[in-house]
Amino acid sequence: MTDNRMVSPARWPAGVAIETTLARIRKHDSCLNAFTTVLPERAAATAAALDRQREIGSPAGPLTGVPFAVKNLIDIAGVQTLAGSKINRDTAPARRDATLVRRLEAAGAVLVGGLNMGEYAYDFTGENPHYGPSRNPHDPEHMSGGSSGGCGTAVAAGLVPVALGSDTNGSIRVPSSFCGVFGLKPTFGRLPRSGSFPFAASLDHLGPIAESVSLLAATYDVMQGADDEDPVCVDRAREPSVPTLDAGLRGIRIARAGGYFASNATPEALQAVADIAEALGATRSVEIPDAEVARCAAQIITAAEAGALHLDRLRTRASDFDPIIRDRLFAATTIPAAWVDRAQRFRRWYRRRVSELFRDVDIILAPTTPFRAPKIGATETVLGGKAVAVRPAIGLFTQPLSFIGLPVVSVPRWVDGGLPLGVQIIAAPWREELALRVAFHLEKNGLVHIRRPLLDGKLP
Amino acid sequence: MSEKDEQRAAAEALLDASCLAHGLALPEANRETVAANVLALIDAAKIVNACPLPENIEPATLFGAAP
Repeated sequence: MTDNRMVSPARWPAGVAIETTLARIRKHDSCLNAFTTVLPERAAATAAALDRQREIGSPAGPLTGVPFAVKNLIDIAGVQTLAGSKINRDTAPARRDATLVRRLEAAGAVLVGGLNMGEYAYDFTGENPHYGPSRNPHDPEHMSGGSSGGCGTAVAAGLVPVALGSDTNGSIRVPSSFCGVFGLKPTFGRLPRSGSFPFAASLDHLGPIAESVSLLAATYDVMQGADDEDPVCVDRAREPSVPTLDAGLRGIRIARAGGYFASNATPEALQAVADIAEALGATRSVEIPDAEVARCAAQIITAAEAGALHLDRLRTRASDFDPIIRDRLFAATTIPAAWVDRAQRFRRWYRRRVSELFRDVDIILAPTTPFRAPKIGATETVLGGKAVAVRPAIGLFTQPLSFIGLPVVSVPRWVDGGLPLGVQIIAAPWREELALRVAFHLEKNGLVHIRRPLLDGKLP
Repeated sequence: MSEKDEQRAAAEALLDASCLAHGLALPEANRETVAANVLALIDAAKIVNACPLPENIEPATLFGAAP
């Protein structure tokens, strides 16, 4: 590593970093709508404590002074965990911070607020009828992507350098693609979800969205570790990614995903993958088997788990849901057990078959989304010459991967001067460090990067 | 009745049974859009059910989902 800042994002003095961040949020968030809660007192107090520690010579954490915000399904002590809903406004404030918030603050990061999201995370658009849409900073008439829409918006606009989101079927990777930032969906079971509002428990992941690969990796590293409160979180030794981030590509076998992942996408989305593959010297193509079936099975399991989760709220508060989400949840209550059983059997089989692919390759490249961010409110688009519904099509390439818990980094590529597009760097289970290494190599060589938008005619 | 109408009627019947079983009151105004969502789930289930699987494969479970 030649530039230590690339792996050490600490920002000093913390008080100044936080003051600047809060001023930026005050200035730009009224048009971007990324935040639902801003915590100036808490952030200032945390920053002041960090600066006092520095003055007395205490060792600094790896994220000291780095401002961050969390999707509002993640608990913040004293704040209602909205999960994008109107209904949760009637719940008591969280009694303590979520596990990952505590881990980030223990590493010196400073929480500045909660972020907008699609209702109950059942969303790929970032639209929300209760709180308004989080807007794409590169063109506020366009979607941020969802459901971690506020995360994508806030990081892309430079309001915070890193945010914590969730991904059940693509909700970290989709806003990363639409907003042109870096996102990591870790292996299922790697990071604890305790203190977060669930969506579909057998598919829910938490993970970071960041302005650079080094910050993505540093954030991911400090969040690792077992957690007794999340039965899904695996008791596995921490496997830091930062030490190998700049190790280069030597020994990494990279292929493009063909078949399903090479069709059903716009030419720009395929071009983004082709550019990255060429830069990495990846000439080989592999086919992820039965990806379309996997997507359908993910839809069934997601709907069944979400329908069961919200049953009481459907009975008592049906009119308070986002109508689009409510209709999906009502439909979800009809799913017979036999469908779920079949989908879960397929899931195990599919996981086994995809695992076999990783005997011959280490990394697979695929588009993150089939198209660029549509305009807010768009309901139809054209794919392969056919009109398709926008909302479900957004998740075409993310759902088959989270379905079996594979780790994925989405990196932003800018094609033809338009809005950004993400490329998924997919690794075998528990090999996040390989995906991050490839992402770092691409960023270091200028092939993927964030691009600051002009806000009010100026750079934020 | 066209095939499409038959499917819609079947989806609505499934929905009515679910509402009865779960004690849900579906607003009449939402009936059509919810039925369309049910049909989308039926289409997804058909694709999953048509995929041949080995006989002895166990279902993935919540706690077995970590790869």
